[in-house]
Amino acid sequence: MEFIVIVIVYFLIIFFDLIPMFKKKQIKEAIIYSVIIIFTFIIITLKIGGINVPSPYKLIKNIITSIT
Amino acid sequence: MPKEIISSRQIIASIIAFIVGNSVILGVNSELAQDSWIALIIATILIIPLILIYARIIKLYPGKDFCQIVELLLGKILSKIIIILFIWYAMHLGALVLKFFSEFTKISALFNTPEIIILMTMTIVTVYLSKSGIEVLGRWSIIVCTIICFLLILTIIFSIPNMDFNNFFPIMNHDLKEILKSSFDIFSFPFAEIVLFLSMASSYSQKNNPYKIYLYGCLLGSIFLLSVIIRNVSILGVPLVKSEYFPSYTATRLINIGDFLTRIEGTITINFIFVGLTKTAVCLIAASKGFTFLFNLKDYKIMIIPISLLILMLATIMYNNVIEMFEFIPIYSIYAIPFQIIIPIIVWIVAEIKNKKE
Repeated sequence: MEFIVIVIVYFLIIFFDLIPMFKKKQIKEAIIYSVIIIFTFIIITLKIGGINVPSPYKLIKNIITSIT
Repeated sequence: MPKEIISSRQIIASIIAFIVGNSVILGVNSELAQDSWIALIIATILIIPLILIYARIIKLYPGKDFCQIVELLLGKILSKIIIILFIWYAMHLGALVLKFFSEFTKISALFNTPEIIILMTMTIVTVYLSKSGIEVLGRWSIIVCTIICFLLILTIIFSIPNMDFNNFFPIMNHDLKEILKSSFDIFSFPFAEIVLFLSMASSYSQKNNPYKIYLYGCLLGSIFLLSVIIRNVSILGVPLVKSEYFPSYTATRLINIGDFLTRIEGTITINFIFVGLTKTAVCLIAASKGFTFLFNLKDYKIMIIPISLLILMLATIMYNNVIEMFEFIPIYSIYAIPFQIIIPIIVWIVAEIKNKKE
C-alpha cells in the first residue's frame, strides 16, 4: 500500500515537474533533479520494504562519543 | 528573477516560529524540570553575542546571501566545502523536524498509519509553502505567530485552576554544572539554529537593522518558551515533566472547564503543525539556495522538490524509534557546534579583516 502511494507521488513529480524541465531545455537542472529522484526513490523503497538502510545517526553518534 | 523582499516584522515572526519550533511540544528541556527556566534565561544571554555576529555578517555585506558572502570571502574551493556542510545541516534539521512531527502524530493520534504517509503529507505542504517564495513565507509567519500566541494565552488562561506554583520549589535544586549543560543544549536547540536565516539575507530590506531583527526575534521567542515552561511545570509538577516525552500535550490534556471545555490538546497539535511547517520550509529554502549556488543554477525554486525528497529520505532512515530520537538531543548540541558557531565565526573574522583592508 505504502509502495503504491510512493510510486504515485513520484510519478506525479516526474510528470508535472521533471518533464516540463526537459521541454524548457533546462538540461543541467533536469539531470541533477533526476539523479536525486532516483537515489531517494531507491532508498525510500528499500526502507519501506523492510531492508535496513544504514542511518547517518549512528555515524554521527559514534563520531561525537569518540570525541567527548 | 525579481528580488523577493520581506519586512522586518515578517522576519521577526518567522524567527519566533523557528525558535518555538519543536519546543512547543518537547517543552524546552525536561531534564531540569523546575530549573529549566533558569537554563532558558542563561541560554538567551549566551545567544546574544552569536546573534550579534550573524547580524554583523549581514551588515557588512547587505543584499547578499550567506553562500555569496562565503564565496566572496573564502575563494572557490573552501567556500564549496562550507556550502556543502551548510546544505547538509539545513537538510538534517529539516529531517529532524519532520521526524519529530511524524513520531508525535504516531504516538498521539494516528497509531496505525504508516510513517511514510504522515511524512509525505507534511512534506507536500512544506513544498507548496516554500515554492510560493520567501515573501509568502513571511506573510504566513505573521499569521502563524498570531495563532500560536493566541493559543498559548488561551491554554494558559484555561489551565489557571490546575496551576500550582509550589512546583517551582526548591529553586536551584540541580547543581550549576547541570544547569549550564542544559542551557547549552537550549542554546544550540533551538536558539542557534537561526543561523539558517543567514541564507535568506538577500531578501532582507536594506532599511532593516539586522541587529534589531535578530535580537527582537530571539527575545520574543525566549519569552514564548518561558511561558511554555511556566505552564508545563506549574501544571504537571516535577516528576511528570521529567517522565513525559511531550509535556505540553499532557499539560493541556488536563484542562477541564466545568466538564464542558475538555480535550483541547488538539490546539498543541495545531501549534506544532504550523510552526513545524514554517521551520521545515526555512530549512528547505536554505538548503535549496545552497544547492542552487553549488551547481550555479538560476532559480532556487527549481531545486525545492528534489531537496524535499532528500529531506524525506533522511527523515525515514534517520531513526528506528522514538528512543533513538530523544537520545540524539544531547548529542545534537555538540554535533551542531561547527555549523552554528565555528563556520559563522570564521566567516565573520575573515569579513572583518577584508573590510579593514579595503
